[in-house]
Amino acid sequence: MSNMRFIVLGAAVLFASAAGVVAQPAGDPKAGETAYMKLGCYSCHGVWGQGTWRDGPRLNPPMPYEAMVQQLRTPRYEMPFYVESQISDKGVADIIAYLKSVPKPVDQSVIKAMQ
Amino acid sequence: MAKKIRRRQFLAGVAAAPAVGLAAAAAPAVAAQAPAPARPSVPLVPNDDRSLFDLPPQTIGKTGADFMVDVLKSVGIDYIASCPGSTFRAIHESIITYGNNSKPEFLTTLHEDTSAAMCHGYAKIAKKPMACMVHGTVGLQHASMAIYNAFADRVPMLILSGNIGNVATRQVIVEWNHSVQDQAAIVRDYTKWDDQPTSLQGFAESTVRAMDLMTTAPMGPVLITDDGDLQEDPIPPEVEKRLKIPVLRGIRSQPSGDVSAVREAAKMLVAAENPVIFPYRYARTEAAPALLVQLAELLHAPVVDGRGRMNIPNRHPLNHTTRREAAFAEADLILALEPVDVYGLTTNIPDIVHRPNIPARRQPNLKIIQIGAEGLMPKANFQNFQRFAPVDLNINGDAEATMPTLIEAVKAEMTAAHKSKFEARGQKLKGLVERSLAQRMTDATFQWEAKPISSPRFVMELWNQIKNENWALPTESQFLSEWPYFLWDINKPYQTMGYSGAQGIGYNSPAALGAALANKEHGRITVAMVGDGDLNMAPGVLWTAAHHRIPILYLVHNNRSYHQEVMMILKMAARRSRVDHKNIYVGTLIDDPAPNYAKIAEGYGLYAQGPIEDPKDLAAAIKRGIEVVKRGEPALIDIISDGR
Repeated sequence: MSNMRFIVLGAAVLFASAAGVVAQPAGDPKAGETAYMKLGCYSCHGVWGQGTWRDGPRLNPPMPYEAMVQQLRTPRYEMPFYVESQISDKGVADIIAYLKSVPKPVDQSVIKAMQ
Repeated sequence: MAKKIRRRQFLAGVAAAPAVGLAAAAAPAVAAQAPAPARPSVPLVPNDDRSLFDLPPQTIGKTGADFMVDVLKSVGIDYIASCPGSTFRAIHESIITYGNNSKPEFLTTLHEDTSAAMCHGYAKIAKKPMACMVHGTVGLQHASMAIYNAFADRVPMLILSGNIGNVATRQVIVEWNHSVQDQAAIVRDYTKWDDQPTSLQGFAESTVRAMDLMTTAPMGPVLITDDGDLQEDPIPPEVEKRLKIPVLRGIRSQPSGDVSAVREAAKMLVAAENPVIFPYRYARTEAAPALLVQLAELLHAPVVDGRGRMNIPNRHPLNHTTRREAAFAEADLILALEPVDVYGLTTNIPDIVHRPNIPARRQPNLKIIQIGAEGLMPKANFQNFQRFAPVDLNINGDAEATMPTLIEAVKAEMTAAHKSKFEARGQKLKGLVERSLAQRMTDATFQWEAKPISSPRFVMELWNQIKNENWALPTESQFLSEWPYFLWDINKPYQTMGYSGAQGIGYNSPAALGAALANKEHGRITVAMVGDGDLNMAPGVLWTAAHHRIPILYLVHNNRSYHQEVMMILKMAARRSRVDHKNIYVGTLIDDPAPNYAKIAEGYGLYAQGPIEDPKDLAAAIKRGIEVVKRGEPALIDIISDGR
């Protein structure tokens, strides 16, 4: 799945560059959290964008704004479409702000100590 | 003639009436002595070849059901899971009194689906079948979903159902509703074999045949319908003397692949540049993983485990399951062992509009060898046989039974040059899995403190408590994103047992209890991570665990939803730009009110904790739960969890 994440990200960046997407609006993490939950992003990507093995790649740290917009508008693989009426470009910026606001990952040693 | 004699005896008020069963209608013997019943004041309707008044009202001596218990003991059935029902009341009574409720022991369940699913889980761990006994028509229909799971998973179980076959002796209303002309028709599409014997000797022979058939690959459930009169009636002594229970003699064998085809497979494996081994339901016995490791190490070939059984230790260096697609993309030969979906090895059908068939990234010269017993049990109606896909070499035979021959054939085919080449291949494979696992570890760090509790935190807190114990995890973990396979060390053949077969929800909770029953005699700690949706299909399983003192720790992965369907409905709505609709969660949430599974478990008599919402509280809760299980009792922890 990690590979899929990079493929999706790479393709999205490529398309976004070609399309010349506008500059990233300022994001509101609170509004982003609301949108992230309301649109159901959490269901496949986890409440903090941590990703799930089969259902949605990790979104944390979030991909660049242009790539995120591109992926939502013209998604790759099984990702559903999210049109402007469902989530605006500003809303995408809000979601990115939310994903940046969640707690930072713990050190791997915490988990390895349990193994 | 016998009938006339009996009639005359009755009319003359003779107390001693001959004991007759359907199988022994002509037997003249007297089985018991008891007072004749008072003559009824209403005219009797003739009961074909037997009259209620031809039989003594009290049975002294052996009954048909007693003999049936002898048969069940003879074939080694240790447990019968069942909800009581009148159509098998005679055999029920015989099990608990005549048989002293030991081998088989009657295990009381609260739903027939639980009875059958317990058989499913038990057989996968014990490597032998147990039985469930289900009420005529109604009970069998309740059990049918669990039977279908077991059939699709190729797991044996002995299903015994009652039926009042004789229309003249059926009581009105209820017994008619619980009787059926061809009971097995209800489940014939997904059982391996069935019979409805009309004599006790027939019951013995059919049961022994059933044991033979169901434990020969491809395995599957079998159904024996037990006639009510046959169960209830006494056995005339002359008939009893003639009854014989057959014994399966000699070496039991499994169907093995044709030797010439196996040699051809060995040639292809040795000649391949990048062979990949793909076991799915390969491991039939506890010896299977070691054989697979032997083949993989001989070839230095990566193994991509389909996890339909515990096929190979997850930490074995050649286990490349975490990089499945990459391994398949490099392969010029895939050896599929008891595969289910061969088509899916080369083609993806993504869940998007039009469901396109998209070829997976594969080598153009890819060849596939399939070894499996699937083709030996064709059925037509239910589509669990999956999409047809041609392969380059199809070997019809049980993969595990074929494995020793294949290993020897590969050895015979290998030269010193091959050995060097394979070792070089093995060197190239080193480090690939570690990189893949490191990525998963990174994923886990991003959600460690999350609320609702994340799946990797859930499974690692559990692992931390059981890693030094003799543990077993009989439940599926795909709804926890398979985290145990990434983070745990799974190396014993009984520690996991694959999937449900047909993905019928409600499998995990009862199947885990059946597995726990098998684990109990080995002193293993059974931990069962079950979804809230799964547990709600069979919550009564908790009472069975408590009542029969079966040690098991249920950990409820409580995402308060049918989360798979949450994702599906959201995806469907997103396709239609309706994802923000106010009704979007109608039908998929198990909330408002949120069930309290700890209270439910306590109500059934279990030690329970929860709901646990803070990941920091998890370790202590699991520790307490394990302590209870170590005392031989079941326990439950309700854990408020993220969706996956």
